[in-house]
Amino acid sequence: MCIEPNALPVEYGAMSFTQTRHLNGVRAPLVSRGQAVIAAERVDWRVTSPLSILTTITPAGITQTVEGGRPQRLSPQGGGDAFLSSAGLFNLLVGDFTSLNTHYTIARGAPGAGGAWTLVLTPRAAAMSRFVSAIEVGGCTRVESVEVRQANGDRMEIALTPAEG
Amino acid sequence: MRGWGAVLCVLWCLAACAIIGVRVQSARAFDSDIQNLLPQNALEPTIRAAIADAGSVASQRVAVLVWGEDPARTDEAAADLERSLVEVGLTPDRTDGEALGRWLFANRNALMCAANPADFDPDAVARQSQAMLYAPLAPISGEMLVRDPFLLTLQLSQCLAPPSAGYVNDGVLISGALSESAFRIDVQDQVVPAYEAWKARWPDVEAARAGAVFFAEEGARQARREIALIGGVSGIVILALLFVCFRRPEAIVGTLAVTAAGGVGSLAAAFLVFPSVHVLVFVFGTALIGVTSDYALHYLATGPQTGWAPAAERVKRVSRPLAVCALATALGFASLGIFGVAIFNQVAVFAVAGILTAWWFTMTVLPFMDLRARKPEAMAAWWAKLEAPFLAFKWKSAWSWVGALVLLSIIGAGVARFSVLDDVRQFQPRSTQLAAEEQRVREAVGFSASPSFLLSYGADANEARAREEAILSRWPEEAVRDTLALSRFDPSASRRVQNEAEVRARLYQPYLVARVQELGLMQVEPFAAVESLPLPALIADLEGEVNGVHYLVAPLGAVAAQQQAGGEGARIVDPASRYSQAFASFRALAAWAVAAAFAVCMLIVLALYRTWRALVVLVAPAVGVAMAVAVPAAFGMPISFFSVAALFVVIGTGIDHSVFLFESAETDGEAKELVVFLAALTTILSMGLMGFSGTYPVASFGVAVAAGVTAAYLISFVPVRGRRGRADE
Repeated sequence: MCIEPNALPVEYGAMSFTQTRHLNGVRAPLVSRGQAVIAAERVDWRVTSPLSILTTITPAGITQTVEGGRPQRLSPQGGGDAFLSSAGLFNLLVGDFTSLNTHYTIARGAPGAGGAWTLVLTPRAAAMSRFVSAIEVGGCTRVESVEVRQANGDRMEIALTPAEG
Repeated sequence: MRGWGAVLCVLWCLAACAIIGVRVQSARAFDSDIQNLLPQNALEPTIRAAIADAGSVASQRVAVLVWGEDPARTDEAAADLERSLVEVGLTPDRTDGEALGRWLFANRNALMCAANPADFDPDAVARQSQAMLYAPLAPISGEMLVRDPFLLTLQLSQCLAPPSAGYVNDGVLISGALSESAFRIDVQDQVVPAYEAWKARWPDVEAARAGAVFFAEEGARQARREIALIGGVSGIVILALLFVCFRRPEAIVGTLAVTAAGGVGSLAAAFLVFPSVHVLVFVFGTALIGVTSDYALHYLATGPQTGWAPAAERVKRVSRPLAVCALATALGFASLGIFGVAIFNQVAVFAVAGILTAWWFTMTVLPFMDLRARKPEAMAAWWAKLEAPFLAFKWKSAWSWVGALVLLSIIGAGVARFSVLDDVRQFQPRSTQLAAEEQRVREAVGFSASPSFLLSYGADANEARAREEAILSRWPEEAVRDTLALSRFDPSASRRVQNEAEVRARLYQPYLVARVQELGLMQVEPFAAVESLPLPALIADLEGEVNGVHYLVAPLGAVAAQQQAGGEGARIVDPASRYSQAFASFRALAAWAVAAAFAVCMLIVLALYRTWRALVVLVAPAVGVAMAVAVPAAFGMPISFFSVAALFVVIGTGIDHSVFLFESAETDGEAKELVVFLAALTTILSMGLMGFSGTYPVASFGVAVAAGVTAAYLISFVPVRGRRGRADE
């Protein structure tokens, strides 16, 4: 029995992800796996395969640590960062569509089997539309998949599953 | 003759009004750059030009951080703000950011994050590019990977590009550069209202500002308030005094006419000589009201004193002392020009022209305005009644001892509490609200700015770049990253060759094949030719040329400012320290200039009076000069370059009272006590009010002049009283 997306409880905690990027002119999709840990004002996006990358998103900024090296602050470059900000990726991961409504126009997509739902998010801000044309979010009792379609034709899929153990 | 003089004077005043009318139409008529307070001829041409460039680049920057509860509304508000600022001349960094991105892409193989090619770490570059491929939503594309398989462009933008516009945490940063100087009044009058109107449209959105334009507008607003306060209060009190003493509207109209003539004469002369006039000139200039009104007072006083004798006779009575006063005062103000400080040059021209115009008007036009009173006897009696207490005053020798004791006490206290202030950073108070907003913006973008910069120079652009590179290659990575250096974006020819050789040999040769296979790249062209691009404006503004010397200016953050830059053709410049040192040396030199001014006054007095006794008129200004230094010091007010500059005005105005009292004693014996008192009071009042200015240079100038002129006025009675006492005996 699926839960309506706007009735999803906001869930903090850990989840596993598989991110697949399809780039034009690049034959092999870029696949990375890892765990995302979501707290009230912090997202730790930890890629564990094929290499170790920890991206931490907090209200103070975004830092990245590669292979256990020194954390580096990422400077704000370009409108794509809106998705990385706590109001974007964070709300998407915890299923807070009410907050996402401020960033995106949300439309209902074709329903899936067993009552699974799909939402299509279109960026409201022109600055973000230059990078992201649409985001498709699917799930049933929680967010299970995210597909980001970029304006240049590239796309990225993220599959989310409950963290093991 | 006086008739023609009057006609010419009126014509000059009309011409002056026309000049002012035409010039104020220009947007560049006024400026409010605090840097114009600084002595320009104290610095080497290259450093001066570099400081001007660095100041210009920094001052035209504007950044506003916008945030709010509702992110969508924040986005809309930020877009609205950017549109509003673009309309008033802002070029958003977004535009520059794209140009910078294209530049980095076009030059990616000749640039490095490492300042020293020997520190190039190909493993780290390959690893970082790998991380970018798999990091959440890194802004990469397939097309980019074909040309730039190791994502050098993105890596360079992370390590080289300064923080620019975009989303910052929960807010949006709008940043860019103004097309014109932030210190132009018309620019401020467009940018700040545009921002305030935007704030009014978005009451639920928070914002923090950073940029010199906001501070300059605040400073200009303060200067306007001070002009209104000082000019207004001076004017009202002077008018009240005139009404009490003269009891006739002609006196008030005459005095206003003289001060107005002085005002238009001074402003027109300043507009004729300078391309734009600093607003602080008007703050200094309002003090002229008290000086020029004295000339009217001296002439008008001859009315009740002579029972309104014919104009020619009245003019004759004041012509010589007024000439001495005008000449000495003009000389005092003109001496300000020797310091090479742009604003003092303006004050000198402004004041000299104002004084001479007021003197000319008094001697030629005022006699036609001050017609015989209807009841001259009654007026003369009233004047005599007002003057009686002054005449009844008998100087006692004991008071000389008391006076000497007071003077010595003040000097002692002044010596005990003497301190100096040459630090330009403390000259103008910064708005605490604007400073807090600026701090918030800096924290958000993670950049710590300092006013210092690295100056590198050479015979040509290539040599200047090579010298900058040599310095940066010795600095730690943290400091290099805290520096916005042109050579990092556009290296010298030899460094370009060296960088590209390193990238080819140590990155592409060992790693490219594996990268192509790993990604399944169908095509790869890392060295494909790209179109030649001009340097992005943000970077291009960091170089210049003066007198055949090519120089680069690299703004430093707080960390980089701590580094040493010993080396040929490169040094770290802290403009504030440089100017502070210059102010300190000028303050010392000014002591000699004061002595020189006294010597010139001595010659003028001897030439006009042809008697050694006349030198007694220099005693009062000499004591005035001593008190102008001692009184502020005794009250804990540090002595600055501006206090010392005020001494020239003390000499000029302090001599006036002695001259009139000396004339009185030496020639007709007619009492001048009341008019001298009125003249002194108006000067002290207008100068003393400047002490309330929030700008330290203006306040210290005003307090020094007020203290000096007060002392000079009081002391001017001592020798004359003594002489008159002896004459009476």
